[in-house]
Amino acid sequence: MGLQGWINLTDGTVELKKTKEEEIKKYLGGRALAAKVLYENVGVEVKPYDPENMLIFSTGAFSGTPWPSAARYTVTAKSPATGAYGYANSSGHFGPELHKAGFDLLVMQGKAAKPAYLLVEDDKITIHDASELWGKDTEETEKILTERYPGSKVAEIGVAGENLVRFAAVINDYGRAAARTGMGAVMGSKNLKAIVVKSTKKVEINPKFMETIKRVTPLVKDHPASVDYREWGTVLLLNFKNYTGDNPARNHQYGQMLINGEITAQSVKNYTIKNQGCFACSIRCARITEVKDGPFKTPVQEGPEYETSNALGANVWNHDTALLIHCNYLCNKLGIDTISAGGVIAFAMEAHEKGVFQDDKYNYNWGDSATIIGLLNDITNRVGVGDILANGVKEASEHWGKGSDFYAMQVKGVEIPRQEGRAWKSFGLAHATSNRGADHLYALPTIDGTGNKAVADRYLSECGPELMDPTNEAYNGTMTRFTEACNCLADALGICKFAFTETFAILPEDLAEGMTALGYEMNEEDILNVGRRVVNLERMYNIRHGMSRKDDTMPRRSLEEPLYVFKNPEDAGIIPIEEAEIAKVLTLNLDVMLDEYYEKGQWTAAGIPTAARLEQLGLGFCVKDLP
Amino acid sequence: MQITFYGFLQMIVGEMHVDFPLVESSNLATAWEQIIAVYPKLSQKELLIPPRLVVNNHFIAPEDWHKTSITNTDYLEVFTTVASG
Repeated sequence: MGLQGWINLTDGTVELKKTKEEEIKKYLGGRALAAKVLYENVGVEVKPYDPENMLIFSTGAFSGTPWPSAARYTVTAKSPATGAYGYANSSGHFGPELHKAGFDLLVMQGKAAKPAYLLVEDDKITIHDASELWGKDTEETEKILTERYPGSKVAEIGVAGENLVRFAAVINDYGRAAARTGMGAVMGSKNLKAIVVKSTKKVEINPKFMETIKRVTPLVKDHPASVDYREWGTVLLLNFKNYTGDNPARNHQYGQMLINGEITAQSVKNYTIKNQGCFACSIRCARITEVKDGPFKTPVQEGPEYETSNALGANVWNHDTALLIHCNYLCNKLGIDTISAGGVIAFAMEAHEKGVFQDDKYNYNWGDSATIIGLLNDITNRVGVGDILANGVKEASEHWGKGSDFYAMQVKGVEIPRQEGRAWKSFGLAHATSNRGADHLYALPTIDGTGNKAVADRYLSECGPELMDPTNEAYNGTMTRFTEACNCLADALGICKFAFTETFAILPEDLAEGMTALGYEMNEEDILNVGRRVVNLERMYNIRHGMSRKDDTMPRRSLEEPLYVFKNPEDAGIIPIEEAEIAKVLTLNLDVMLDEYYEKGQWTAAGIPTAARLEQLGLGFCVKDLP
Repeated sequence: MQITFYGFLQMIVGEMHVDFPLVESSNLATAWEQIIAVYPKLSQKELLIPPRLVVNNHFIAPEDWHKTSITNTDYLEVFTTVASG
């Protein structure tokens, strides 16, 4: 059990508490423990930028240990994007360092009178003046602070967070981002520029836990997916997705780049210097890239990975890998979420094309580099149209109206990540039901996508063979219930999903064995129930804010407009599109999946957990909040 | 030969289950070449990584494809390892 640092930024007081044993047993740590703190302390009356909102940095029970890929930490708050639950998750080395310093949680409330940063040392937290850092980008901020505190790890916001851009990120290790749901903006609203962590301690590993680590490490390291991601990075997916319709393009008007071969795993490799791994990670999926010359000259940096490569590639119709790499660098430096940034720019391009708004500053042509780079800067600085886009696609479409909600590609105020729900149905359901708004990592339902029959047979035996068909809606509700609980465990323990649910190289029973070795005896069902508990707790947080089935939906384009998948996307780029051969026409039937998802989770048809289910999961304290 | 394609590979082929007539005296390597001839987008040139091939419930590593004989009565399952983002 570690410490919790409760920091009041208004009066500068710091209180250290010990995490209770029963909290670890019930929540494990990380995202799960933070969800409990948020539920208990930040009510409906608190607005996201109110000082009363909490910003919670959390590490997991395995963080900082040699458990494979135990590198992640979570940032949780009431989100300015959803207006309700929010969190973001990042990797690198910051989280493990925070756990080594002795902390399970940093809970920040209030608002500093002037810009501040936290210095977290072994079992000690102090608050310092950050006035000279305010206005600096993430790169400069991190450089200054790591030089001031040699050997430290830093998480910081950029100018976007200072300016309350609703998709501002928290950046650490220069190129790692806790990006989603605007956690950087909440940090900015508290006048908190950075958190510096410097520990001299090591996380103690007991022999039994080490034994489990030694057993599971090769399962991750040698898994074929790990080998492939190590070689190519997640941009490998671009080559697959462009033939399937799952490579959203032009704001989801298409599911493919219609000129093939321009942004691919190979083209990113041309700019790649080496691969890189996070703390304790053998997968090493990160790409270190550089654009040596030309208009998009970019210094050595981390990325892009798949999500960014689509968001600032196909989705904005950018065909230039150098421009993509440059935009990735800019987003990290400015401190904005690449997924949302690509989403709002694509939305603006389509809205401008349809005459929804006028602006002479840029031409808003699809793929235009001046428009893309200009908007990234204008959004960050809240200049002109950038000021509207800085509030996200949902609010921009409400501001402009004129039917733009049809192609406002967001769920619960969060821009959709880079899957196409009409092509891969389970991701349509996952985007719709995630409690932090549109999200691929909340449920990550990949069992059908990898044809993982062993996992299906073991955990989803009630499902029929249609489960394995990603183009079929059947049984996706059941699969998503299972995978959302598993993915919560990854976030609660501080491990990477690529070392767990992407492949199930490690199973929930392995995690239970690890927790037992740490002294918290539990079996597989016990640990899965932690995941189920937290999903229900997060759901209840949103229900307290008025959400229900009406919010578990997809944009009108996904539900009402068929997606045409072209047999030869490369042909469709050079011949009139109406002459291109169509391989298939895809639609999404969300309601049938929602019905199954609610039923399997013991929720009502309106998407509300039953009182009995809450009691069963040890969430009796939530029953009073049921509508 | 009955073939089941999973995940992205199914989505590329357009069907999950395919009845594929093999040329006589095939080994798994030559069988895969025949499949690629019909579905060229499954090739390693396009997708960069080889598929995972399972014959009659047994995984066959790529280095053993040419040593594995296969006929039209066998059942081939074709997987990829990567899935999400």
